[in-house]
Amino acid sequence: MSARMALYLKARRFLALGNVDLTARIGPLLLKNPVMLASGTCGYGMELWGLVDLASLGAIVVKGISLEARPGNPPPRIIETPCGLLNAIGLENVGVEAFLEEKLPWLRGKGLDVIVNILGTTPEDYGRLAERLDGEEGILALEVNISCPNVKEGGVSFGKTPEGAYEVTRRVREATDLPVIVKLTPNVGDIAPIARAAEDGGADALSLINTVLGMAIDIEARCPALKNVFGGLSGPAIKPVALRMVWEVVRTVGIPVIGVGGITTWQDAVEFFMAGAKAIQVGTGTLVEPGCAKKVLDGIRDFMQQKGYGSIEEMAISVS
Amino acid sequence: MARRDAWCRVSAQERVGEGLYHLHLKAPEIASSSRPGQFLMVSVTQENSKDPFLRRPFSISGIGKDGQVSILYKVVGKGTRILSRVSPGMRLRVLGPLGKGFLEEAEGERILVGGGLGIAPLLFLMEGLKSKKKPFHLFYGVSSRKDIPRIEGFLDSGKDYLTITSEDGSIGQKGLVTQGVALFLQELDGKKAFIQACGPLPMLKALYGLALRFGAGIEVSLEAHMACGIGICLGCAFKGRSGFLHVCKDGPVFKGEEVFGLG
Repeated sequence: MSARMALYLKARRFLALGNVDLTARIGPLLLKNPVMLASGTCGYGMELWGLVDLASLGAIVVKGISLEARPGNPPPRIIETPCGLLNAIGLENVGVEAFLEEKLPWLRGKGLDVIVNILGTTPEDYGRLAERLDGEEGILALEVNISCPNVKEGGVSFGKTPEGAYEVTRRVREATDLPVIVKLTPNVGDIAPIARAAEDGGADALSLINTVLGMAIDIEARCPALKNVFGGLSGPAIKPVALRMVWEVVRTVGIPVIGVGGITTWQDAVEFFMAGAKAIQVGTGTLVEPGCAKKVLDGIRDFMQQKGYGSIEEMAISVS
Repeated sequence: MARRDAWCRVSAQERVGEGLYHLHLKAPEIASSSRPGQFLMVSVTQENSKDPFLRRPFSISGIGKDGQVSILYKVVGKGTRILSRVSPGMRLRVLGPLGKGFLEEAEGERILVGGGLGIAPLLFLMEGLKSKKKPFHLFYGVSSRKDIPRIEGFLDSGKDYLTITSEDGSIGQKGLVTQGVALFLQELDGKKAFIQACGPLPMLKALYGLALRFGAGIEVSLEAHMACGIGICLGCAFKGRSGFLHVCKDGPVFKGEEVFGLG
């Protein structure tokens, strides 16, 4: 590199300092930065208190909530696989009433930006959950889980057909004025029509992907390693799959896309922004390193400053 | 809760038997807030490798002067094999101390029972009891003599509090550790007793049966596959008396009845 070029780059970097706009613009939802904690990997926030500066993150998406508490699946529920984790937790959660009584006040008290992930067994369940959560102070948006692979009626059947995705989204849309994010499953032949159906149903944004259906076998015991037989694969192993689907969906729908799946470094996050995601979620990475999302955020900021990107959108590779 | 997630320097690693290792980490903040029965999540990855991906949970086997915290482990898979190769000066990411530990104050005769590597957290508990000059009895069961870690001072002569049992009879009394405990409880003749145990599940279950029979209190430390160690992944569920327990945050030390009690 010529001395003049080096000087130019240095000046550009200097001028860009402090001018990096990290705001995530996700339709009607504005976040102070584009890094969230993914549902199911950050509990209800309190579990991480003291280990992570939760307030520094764009938002935390709390563990999926159903109308009634759910006990979850019998163990073994998790098994490590190369560069990943297979889980069949089974949507264990405290139920919406206990969430509102015991969890939300704490989150509100800490001034955290909270997105609530909801799940049901019928479209009506989703509508009732949205109605119940609508108007509760301290909730920024709803993330509609139509994609958990680990229970027979965990909403995944809705996420597998355009009709199901449309129906559930519409119910939630009608029940609340909160921004509605629909979380999609990768376990489908073609994700495009499902993404379009959620958009048609009134979703403000899409988040993808949920876990990839997989399994492991314990060869000593000669039986499936998970009691549930199948589980959802997460972690770095699924990042290429997630990235491909985000790329595809960004080029399919007009609403913003949130990238999720195997992000553990800032470089991973930048790939998703370049694919067109407006924000990202760190999931399994938090299980391994509580401070993972914060490191990702700091890395994104540094990268943008170094390269002179003024906003998240500027990083996107053009859609056409 | 004084949990920390920090880089900790390996101060020493000793091979203390066939596939058995005693690892010492310099972690003053973690050491000073650790209680017997608590555990650490330790990274086993090298550099930026993502495989193995998860940290591994280990009971704290002791804390030392100058802010050292120790774990005792056996090589059972890829993660522990990698860990067994770390040498002094290397740094590992350590999260802890985590979970609920053993009661340190209890009424009646103290009976500690360790099965195999279940001895690890009891070493820590025992140190505390010794320093407070509290009497206790340790029942230690192994399959064979070679399973006993060669830890300095652990098996020195004149340990009248120690009863060793081995399944093959290669050391101590031949048989199961629970037989010795049963005899001991019987001889107490109705005196109060409190059992604190860590080891294989069948052993813990048998001890719970003995505790019921002799009216003794009992605490057991459980083991489970874990991803996070802090109650967010919900992976370490165990079916207890009143639903699922999470080993990492509700335990790993539980009252016997929480685990084995009926309905």
